[in-house]
Amino acid sequence: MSAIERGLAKLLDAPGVTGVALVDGVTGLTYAVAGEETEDASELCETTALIAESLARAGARGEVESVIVTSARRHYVTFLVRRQGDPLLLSAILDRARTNIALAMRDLSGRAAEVLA
Amino acid sequence: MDPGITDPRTTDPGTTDPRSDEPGADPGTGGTDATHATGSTNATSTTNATSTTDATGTTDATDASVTTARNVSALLLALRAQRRSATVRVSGTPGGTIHLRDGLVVAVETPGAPTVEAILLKSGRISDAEWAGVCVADPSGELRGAELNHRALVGALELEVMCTAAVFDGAFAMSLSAPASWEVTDRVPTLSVEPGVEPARLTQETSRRLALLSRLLGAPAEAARARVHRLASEPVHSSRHVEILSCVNGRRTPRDIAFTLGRGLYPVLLDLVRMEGLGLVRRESRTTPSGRPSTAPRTAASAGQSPYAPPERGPLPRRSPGGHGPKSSSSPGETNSA
Amino acid sequence: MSETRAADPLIDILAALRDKVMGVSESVLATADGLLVATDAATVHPESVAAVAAATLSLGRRMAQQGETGMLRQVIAQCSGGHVLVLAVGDRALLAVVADEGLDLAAFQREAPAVVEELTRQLDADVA
Repeated sequence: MSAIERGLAKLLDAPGVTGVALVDGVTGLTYAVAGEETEDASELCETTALIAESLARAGARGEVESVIVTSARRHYVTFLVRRQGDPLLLSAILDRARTNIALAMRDLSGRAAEVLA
Repeated sequence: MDPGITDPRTTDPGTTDPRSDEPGADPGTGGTDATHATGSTNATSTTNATSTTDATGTTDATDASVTTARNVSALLLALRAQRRSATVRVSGTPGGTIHLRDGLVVAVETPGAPTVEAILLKSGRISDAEWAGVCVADPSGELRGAELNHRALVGALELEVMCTAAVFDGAFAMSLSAPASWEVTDRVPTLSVEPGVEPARLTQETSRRLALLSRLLGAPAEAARARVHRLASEPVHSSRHVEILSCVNGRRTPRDIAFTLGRGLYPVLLDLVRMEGLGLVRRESRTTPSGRPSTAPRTAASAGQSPYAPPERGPLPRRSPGGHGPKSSSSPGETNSA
Repeated sequence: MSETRAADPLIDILAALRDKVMGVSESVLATADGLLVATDAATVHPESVAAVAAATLSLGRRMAQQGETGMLRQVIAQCSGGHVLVLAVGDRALLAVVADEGLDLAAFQREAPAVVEELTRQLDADVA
């Protein structure tokens, strides 16, 4: 198992997380997936970039940290992971029935920071 | 499929991308199996064929499929079927070197895109002295990743991300030029990603990148070598755009900018596309070295052209992702030595 | 749309080298004793490069003598962030080429002889 796979596997332990993926924030390349597959990675990347740009043009300061899309049964969460080099996107699928989104976000971002350190 | 952990790098993506077969390509034999270094096994005499159906379905595992490969993509598939650990040296302008372990691509080096080493040094993540220390500790080069991790210079996950990105970036850069010939030689130690990338996936992603850039930019090969100029100052929001602008001097091409910044060629191209759209930069069309008239920057109308149409060089075969057939058939034993 | 070329044909030859060989970023043409003749450069200081290149070539030749390894062909300074190559252009001039880490050395070796010849011809024409 590669280092990325091991790291993502740990994130699946977080309550309600049914799938995680690590995606390049510029090229949209998927580095690894664990659990359920999330949506098309390069689209995710483009969507996030679009949101970031629109916000910047609208005058928002700072950078996008996360994007959450909520459907009937799930939250699709994308964290922007900044690092030295091009940013990464950590994308997770959360089961709404099993998670409180606010807690899950904090928990997930904490675990992600550990994993990606 | 049970929800186990899937690494898309090693998942069988199905049959060969049909786009890698070029219509009208020269079906002559590809490069040769090289003469090997003294003392090493002559790989051509050992048939490594397995009789079980291999992952890619259509490629057989015999040496014949290696020597008759029509392009680098096909060659890599054949080597994957054989589970070969080897080095594929592709000559061209520029050429490149593809490192394989069990047929998976673990590293790609080419003048067209920065290597992981170049990126590590350029970005300042490690100093020259630290890199020298790592090389001394592991002269073979094979375990430098472990050494970097051990010395807490670069985390294992971070390094894996960088190496994987570099494999795709190198393959993409190599796909922008036509190979003159190639040879398959023994494995050589290199800083690499484990377990490596499936060649089929590499080809698929490279096709996707070429197609996308063709839609946005016109011929990607030209775009990568066009000089970039600053346009009148507009407000710049993105820190990446600011960084790129600091390198734009009217001489540097996107490839040069990638090297200057220690970033990949493809991500830099993507950023430049955006910057062009925002009116921050423009590309300069250039004459070819032989002095033929320059091709004008593509307009939106002509950008819908096939990405495989040869841009400025007449008689070369049409481009295909991941590599191309040789220009002329080479007789066995004729090796292009650099 | 294209960059205006300098009227100097020597600069054209140097710029063409940059176009042809991936990784070449700047070059300086100098006399054997280190005086600047022509340059296609942006960031380096041409006069300084010319002077140091002449010294490098001269030392390189003496090194070849000491090593008894025949005629010097070129000196390559391989550095963490790129390369600097110095080679003779005829008897009375020399070329210094600055390149990044991704220099296509094979391509440079292929193109260099023709470039040197073109430069020599142009230089001879200048003094004729």
